Amino acid sequence: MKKLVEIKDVCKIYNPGENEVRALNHVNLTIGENEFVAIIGQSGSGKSTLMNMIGCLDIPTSGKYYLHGKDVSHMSDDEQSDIRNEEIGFIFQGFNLIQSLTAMENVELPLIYRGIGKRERDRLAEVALNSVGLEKRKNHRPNEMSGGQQQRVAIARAIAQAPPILLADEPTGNLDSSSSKEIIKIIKRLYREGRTVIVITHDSGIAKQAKRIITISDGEIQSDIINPDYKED
Amino acid sequence: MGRLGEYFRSAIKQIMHNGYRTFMTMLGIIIGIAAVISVVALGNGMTDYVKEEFNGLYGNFGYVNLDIGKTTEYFTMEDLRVLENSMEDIKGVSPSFQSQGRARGTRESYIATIDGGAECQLYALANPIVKGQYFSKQQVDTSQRVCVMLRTDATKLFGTEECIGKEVELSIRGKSAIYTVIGLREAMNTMYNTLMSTQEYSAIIEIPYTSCATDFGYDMNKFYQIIVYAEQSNLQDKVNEAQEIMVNHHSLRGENAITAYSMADLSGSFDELMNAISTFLILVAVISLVVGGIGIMNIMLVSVTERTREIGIRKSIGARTGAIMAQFLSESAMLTLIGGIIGIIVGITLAYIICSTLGFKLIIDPEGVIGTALFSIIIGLVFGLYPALKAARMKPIDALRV
Repeated sequence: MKKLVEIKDVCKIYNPGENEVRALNHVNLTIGENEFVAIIGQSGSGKSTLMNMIGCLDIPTSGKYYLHGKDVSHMSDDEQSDIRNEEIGFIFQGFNLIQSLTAMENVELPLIYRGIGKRERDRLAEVALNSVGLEKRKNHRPNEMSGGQQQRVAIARAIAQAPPILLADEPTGNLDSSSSKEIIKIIKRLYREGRTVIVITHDSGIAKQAKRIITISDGEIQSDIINPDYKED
Repeated sequence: MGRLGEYFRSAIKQIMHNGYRTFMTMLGIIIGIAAVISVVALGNGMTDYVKEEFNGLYGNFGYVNLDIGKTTEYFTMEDLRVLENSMEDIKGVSPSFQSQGRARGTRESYIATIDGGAECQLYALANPIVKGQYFSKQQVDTSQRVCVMLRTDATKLFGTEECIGKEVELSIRGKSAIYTVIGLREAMNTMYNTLMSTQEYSAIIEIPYTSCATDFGYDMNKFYQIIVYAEQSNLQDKVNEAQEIMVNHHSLRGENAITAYSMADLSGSFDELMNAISTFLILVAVISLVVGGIGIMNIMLVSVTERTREIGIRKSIGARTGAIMAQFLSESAMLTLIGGIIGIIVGITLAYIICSTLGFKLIIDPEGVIGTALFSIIIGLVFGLYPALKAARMKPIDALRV
């Protein structure tokens, strides 16, 4: 199995000095291609910091992070932006769609930043929206859609530019149970299609859907197990 | 270019999304630009109007004067010949024997300004000959008693404009002579009539200086002023050249005894005055534009704060610092450009209303309008820079936490 995410002895310290907070304390973690991983932890456990680290939204205080074999732990803002654009598709708890744009335009956004032409962009965005079953909502704005639909738009946006990693932060946190099931189903399918999926959650019910479960608390990895109960849909 | 196009499209969308606020923001720019456009147009219209009337009043000529306090020299017929022979591109030179006198026609008698000059005196006034003709060189050389008057004078003196060939009695300081009318000039323009409205009506009658000298006691070989007629474009040069020639001819170098003055001088100082007024008004307009620009900056800062989350989203999915900068800059530039265009329309409308009310010609300088539009974009870019920088420098995790 090829290594995709390789975190080596990473620390993240906020407020260095007397009141320092060690959000991550010498964390080592390797995630390979086409894995389905859940990172579970209580609030304040450091799981969000870990997610920011994996998602290249933040840089470690010490240690190294290799993504696709490339050291991304000390990159400039713009280099990080490019890495996020090419390597990672984000799915957030609050959907994080831009309210003034239609579903289609939201999905096209990462493609614009990659400099893809209008026609190709339209095609890719359409493919992505179709794959989450929203072909009929292309021209709706976020406030004209349900939470589940909005999260599906967000998923379409995350997969539109075909990044190898999908990083989902509490993807069902704002959804009712039937929408949640639907989203989990889509996420599982995306994994089966060959992507690496990393889900960050505090909900063990969600974590149990994943193939590998990593538990984090106090900035350290407590356990890293293969889920015995994992089942394909 | 494709990406930039996207930014502009999204900027337009954003602007439309916030219609009312956008308009209020743009108001400062609209007023500033409208002020610039209408002030410039008004200034041009006014300058044009005054110049036109001014040029309509007088022809293109200048004076060369002998200062009798500084020299005992005087001009003679020979001086006229010297000038005529040595100067090119002039319409002619002439003495000016001008007096107040009276003119009696078949109907009535009026006071009159009687101008004795050479045939080139035709150019002393801009008013064209509408009937008959001006006197010729031959008529000047042979001291013919012929005259040219305004068509309004003809109506006053004869009761009709059909007066070519009729006789008019001219008298200056007790001397009288009978002259034959051979031509009529167009009447004076409104500016002249306004200026003269408080005065008693005075006819303007032009006669050859030769017969003027014979009949009314001028000395053709002793006078102190020569008038040079030339095109407006080279008038100044020609008058200076004539002065130079006369200084040399009379050996008066270094004595400042011969002065020169042209109507171009007058229009030059008039231009200066108009430029000063325009500069001042434009300064005021620019200040209002800067104030408008600060308004734009304000609202862009509010917009950046309001859209922190959007900035975070955009960055998290791969927007570079430059892309966020470009987005906000194109928004503020678009804001001021639209404001500028509305301002231009309002300004031209205003200028049209004011100019047509005051009777000025509406002069819109297309370069000025394009320049103004560009300037409004520049204001957007300058005042949008700080908010855009602020937006672009946000860290995505901080921006997403909002």
